[in-house]
Amino acid sequence: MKKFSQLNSGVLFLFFLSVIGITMFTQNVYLRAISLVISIINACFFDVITDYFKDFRFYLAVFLVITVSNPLFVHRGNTVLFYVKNTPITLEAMAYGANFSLSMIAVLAWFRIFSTLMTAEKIVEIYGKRFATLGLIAALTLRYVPEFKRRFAEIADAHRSAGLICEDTWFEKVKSYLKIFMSLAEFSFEKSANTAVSMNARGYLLHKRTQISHRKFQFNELLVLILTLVITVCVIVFSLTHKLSTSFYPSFKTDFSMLPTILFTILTLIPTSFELEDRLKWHLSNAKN
Amino acid sequence: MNNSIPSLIFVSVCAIFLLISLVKTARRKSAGFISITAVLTALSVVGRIVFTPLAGFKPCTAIIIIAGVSLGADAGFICGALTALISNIYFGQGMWTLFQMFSWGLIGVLSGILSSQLGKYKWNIYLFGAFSGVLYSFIMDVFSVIWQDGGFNLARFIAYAAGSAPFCAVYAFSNVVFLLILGPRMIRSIERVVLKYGLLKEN
Amino acid sequence: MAFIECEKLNFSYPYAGDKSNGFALHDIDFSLEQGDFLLICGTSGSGKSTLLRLLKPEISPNGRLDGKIIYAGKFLNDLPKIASAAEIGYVFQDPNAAYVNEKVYSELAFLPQNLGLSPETIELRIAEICAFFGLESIIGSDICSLSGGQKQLVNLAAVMTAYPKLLILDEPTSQLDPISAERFSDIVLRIRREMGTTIIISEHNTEKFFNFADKILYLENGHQLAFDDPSLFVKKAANHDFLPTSAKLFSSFKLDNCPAFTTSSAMNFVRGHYKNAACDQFIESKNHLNGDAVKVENAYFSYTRRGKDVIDSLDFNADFGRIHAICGANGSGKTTLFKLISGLKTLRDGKIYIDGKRISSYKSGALYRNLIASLPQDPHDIFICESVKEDISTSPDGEKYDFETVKTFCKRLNISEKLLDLHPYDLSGGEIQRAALVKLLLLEPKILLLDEPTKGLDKRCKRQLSTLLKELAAEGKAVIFITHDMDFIAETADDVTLIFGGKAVSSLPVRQFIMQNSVYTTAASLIGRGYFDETMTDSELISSAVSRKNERGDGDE
Repeated sequence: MKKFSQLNSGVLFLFFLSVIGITMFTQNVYLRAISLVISIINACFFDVITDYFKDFRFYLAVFLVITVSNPLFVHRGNTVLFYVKNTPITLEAMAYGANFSLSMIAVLAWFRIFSTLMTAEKIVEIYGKRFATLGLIAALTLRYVPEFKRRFAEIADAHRSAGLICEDTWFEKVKSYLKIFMSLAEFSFEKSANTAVSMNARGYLLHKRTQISHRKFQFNELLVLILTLVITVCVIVFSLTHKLSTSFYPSFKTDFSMLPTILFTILTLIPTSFELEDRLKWHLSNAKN
Repeated sequence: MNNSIPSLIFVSVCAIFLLISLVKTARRKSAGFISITAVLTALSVVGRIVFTPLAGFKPCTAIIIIAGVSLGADAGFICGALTALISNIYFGQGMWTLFQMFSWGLIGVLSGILSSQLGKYKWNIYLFGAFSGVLYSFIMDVFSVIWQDGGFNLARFIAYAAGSAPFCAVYAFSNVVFLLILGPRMIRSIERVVLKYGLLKEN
Repeated sequence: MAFIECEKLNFSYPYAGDKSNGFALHDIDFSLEQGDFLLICGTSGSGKSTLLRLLKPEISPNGRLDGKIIYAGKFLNDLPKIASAAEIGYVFQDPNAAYVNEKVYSELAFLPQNLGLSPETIELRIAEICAFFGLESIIGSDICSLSGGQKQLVNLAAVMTAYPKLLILDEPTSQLDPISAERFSDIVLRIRREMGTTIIISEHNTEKFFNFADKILYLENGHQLAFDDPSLFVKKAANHDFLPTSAKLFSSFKLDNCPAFTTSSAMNFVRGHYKNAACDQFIESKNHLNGDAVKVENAYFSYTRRGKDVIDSLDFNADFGRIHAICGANGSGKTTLFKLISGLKTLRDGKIYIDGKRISSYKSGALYRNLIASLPQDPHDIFICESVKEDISTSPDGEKYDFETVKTFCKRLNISEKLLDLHPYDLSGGEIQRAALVKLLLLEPKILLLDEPTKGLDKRCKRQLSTLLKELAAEGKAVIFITHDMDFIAETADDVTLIFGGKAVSSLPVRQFIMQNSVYTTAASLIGRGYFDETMTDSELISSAVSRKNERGDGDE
């Protein structure tokens, strides 16, 4: 079995779309709680947990701000804590805020994992099949960005030693930077012509380009794909039939449905299972040696 | 909730816009178009990275407008959507990526459609720049509100808009400054290179 | 039957005064068999690139074409597009311009993908080409992190994945340092030996290829002045600049059967025809410079806190009125030294004196007013306006210079009126360099720094630059430049410093430097060593050889 990161990028994208989508749009506390807890577990496995802790203060701030501010805008709810200028601050509104901010933190954790897995190459891979033009433009952009960053620094040096940079006031600084940027732009436009010539010289636009897929679609990917789709559909169906709703107003009331909750747990644990199996196999094979 | 239906419609319309634009721009294009669009997108991304020390100054919107005006709505959309996707590789991906893709993509398409108007009178493009800055903030705030409340909450929206107003003003101002100093110059340069090398000619 | 033929080829661009200044080709006529190696020589703007591009239909310039180009028995224009892409490969001059993808693997796959080959075939091709070029260690790397030489190898490999029958290379090594150029040339020759590919290459520096070429084509101003095999060419040729030193030597003797055009065969020739001359010992003249322009004392610098010291206990002196060359391998610290001297970076330890004062005592910007001016590797970098005229006549503060002064400088640097109205990127390499120099000289600097000014220039431009630098030194300026080009150093410099591992390993007057070394030296010096000891440059070698022509040699003739 391969690592989770090596799965087909389209499958990965769908996986994250459904997990993040469900976390965001469901109101069910259980689903959101599961999402939050397992997102942190996964973050450990994907080495993102250190970054996560670095931003802990940010997350705390987010939590507090949203929890506290929600009652200022929403005044429904039965349990009134106190009044501020005749507007009621209700417990339910705060609870709603807390619920929402927890889901947001979970979403941020999932996105962190998403960023580590979805490297630039993978983005191009998704586009590459259907949207060849878009994929090629994305690939070209990705290859230009580091080069332009370097060129910007080089041109800045050249401008500085030709006396063209002035940093006295903020405005002067902006003007100097813009001059450098314009030099970079001129350079890059000429560059684009060279790239176009190079592409044409190698037969671009001849006819259908072969797409190189590094791996064939494997059973694992199919499994993940099917699980993702089935579980997502199940959750949606249950939500629409009001079996999964949580409402805070007028008072706290939540549903609990066994099936979708368990299925969602399975879904979120898919990356974990890949990683566990990978590490287990590694240790076992090492132990043999 | 009553609020959620119009919001749902709004979000669906935006999603449909994104999908249609994606499909439309998937047509075969000449190598020259691909490379000049990629260059502009890369400039936009690098611009965002390089101007971070000068807080609040993001040349992205201006460059996207320039792309739309000189190369058409297709290029404007691609430049806008990809700027969001790719610059967030450096700044952090999040739900905001999709919002940014939509806002910037929309601005790109608009500047492409209105390109003849914007080219005619100098002040048009500066106004459009300011307008785009406002539009961008507006859309981002709308999306944030919808996400949070599951529907449109006017009070919260006003609060968000008020909170982001200073950023919005700086943003619109920086767009105008950028377009003022470099806008016409960049458009001229792009046209020069397109003409000199025949970039937009089909093979 | 000939593989490639040009019959009475005439070409003109559609507009006069367009980017190429209306260059045309007149009556080009040549033919090649399959597997031949053709070397095209000529100054910049002689039409070499135009001719090469006409041989590749996808990138042919627009214009009016008279005459025929025949490829494998058919007209080139009738060649189907797939065949054209697969059978004719083209490598461009600038290693940074040609690649399209981020990773080496994707770049190698680009051409086969366009040809519609199956994924398995593509993988196989990449594996083969990778083995041939030795790219295994970098196959997964980002191209942008590779050196110039490696990038150019990747570009060549990307074209070879289709196993083309004809390989066209447009000045492929002109932007590379000598070692990378050497490696690249070796691979090209190996392709010719082992794959039987027909190769057409244009170069300014013909040292490596001249010996292996089957035919030489010499163009000037679009006219074909010669199409011969190398021996005949050398016999007929006047002392052409672009010939390798050995060829120039043989040419001045009008030999019928030239030995190989390599330095060693020239050395053999000299050994056989001349008496051994005792050489004067050079008086060791250390510290002949007092560093009144630039003085670097015991400098230490590294880019990162824990990183290796890029500048490690370096001492350097440059004087006013003298031309100082800095050479050394890539990564030895030359560019860093320049950045330190021009105030772009600061030393961790040690002192730098500019014009007698500590560099830190200059307020921001004062260093660049009437003191130091730097010419970057790409002169386009310092241009900010849309026309050359507007750019060079505006000072950094925004005021306009007196136009008469500007015109005087332009005349002195050979910049014609019509160049002034053009956009900076419409100028050729030599022209933009001269325009940039005008811009810098108007600042009236006392010290002029030039970063690899000879990259991509033909010999004529190099000579013009050499003359200019000597004039500037005679006016009292200090001229310091970085280069790999030993011939240029021999022609131009007064002093040379060799940087290795962040130190100045050798800092001597030029003649002493060149005469002592075996690698950082000129071919002329190696050929004449022990026989013509005062020779550094090709012209000195030729004149010494000719003036002592009637000597009997150590062996009989």
